[in-house]
Amino acid sequence: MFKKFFHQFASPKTFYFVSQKIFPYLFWLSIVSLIIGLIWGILYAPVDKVQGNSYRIIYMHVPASFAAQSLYMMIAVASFIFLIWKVKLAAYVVKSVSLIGASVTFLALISGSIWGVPTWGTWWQWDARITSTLILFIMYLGLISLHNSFNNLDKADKFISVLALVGFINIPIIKMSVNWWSTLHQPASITLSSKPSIDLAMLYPLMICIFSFLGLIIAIVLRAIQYEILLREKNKKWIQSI
Amino acid sequence: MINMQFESLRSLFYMNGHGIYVWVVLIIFLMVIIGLFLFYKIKINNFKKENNEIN
Repeated sequence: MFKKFFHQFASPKTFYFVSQKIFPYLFWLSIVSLIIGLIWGILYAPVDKVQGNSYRIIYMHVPASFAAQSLYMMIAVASFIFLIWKVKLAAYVVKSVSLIGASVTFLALISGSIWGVPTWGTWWQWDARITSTLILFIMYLGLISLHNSFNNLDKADKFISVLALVGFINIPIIKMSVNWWSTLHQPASITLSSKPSIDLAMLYPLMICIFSFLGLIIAIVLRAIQYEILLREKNKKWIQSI
Repeated sequence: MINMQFESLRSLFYMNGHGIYVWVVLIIFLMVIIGLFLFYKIKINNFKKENNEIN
């Protein structure tokens, strides 16, 4: 029964119509909660004793960084599924997520860079966390340009899936960089294994921002996959009748 | 208890000298979200329009 369910969902046609139904709920729920999280974080969360009000950038920087890494994990899983089981929807996911991943990683880098000015006194530092995130951004750009460089889409799908899996090595490096090396970037404030080092009054709006931003980005990813399905399956009867 | 951290609109914008950084990041943040959303919305609408013209 499960196998049948997943097989059905792996069909581009089923995915298109199911995601069409999910999109408005996910999109509007995420928008409303993101607005609540941002207003709470920027206007109502207490001032940080050390960083002052500049720390409020956390409500945009951390969700962007979290989404940048989560999207790459999504790409890696989809690449694996495509290479092993040849599910073409997985190849569409890899292609569609690349541009959104690059944009979100750019957002993480630029917000971190701006935050660096009042906090560290510099826009940029070649420290492990920042450099590995820059490598993630370059990986996303690499996936986009590699796919665009092929005329044969099947070949392009295979090559970017392999490249995406190779690039996955960077994700644990980003995560652990603040522990493995002495970095200017602060260690993680929220971990699964220990109590958060951030005050709860700051943590609650941060959690809302992280999950609502992720929800919003997933909603946009659904749209991007729909567009890829329309392009790749344009000769199919069901698309012509849309 | 949740309290508003700024006494006036001026102090909200200024944020003790950090307002410029926070607001610039917020603007870029919103621009990326809106940009991505509109990019795919326009692409899908254009595709559907062309598809309808062909059929």
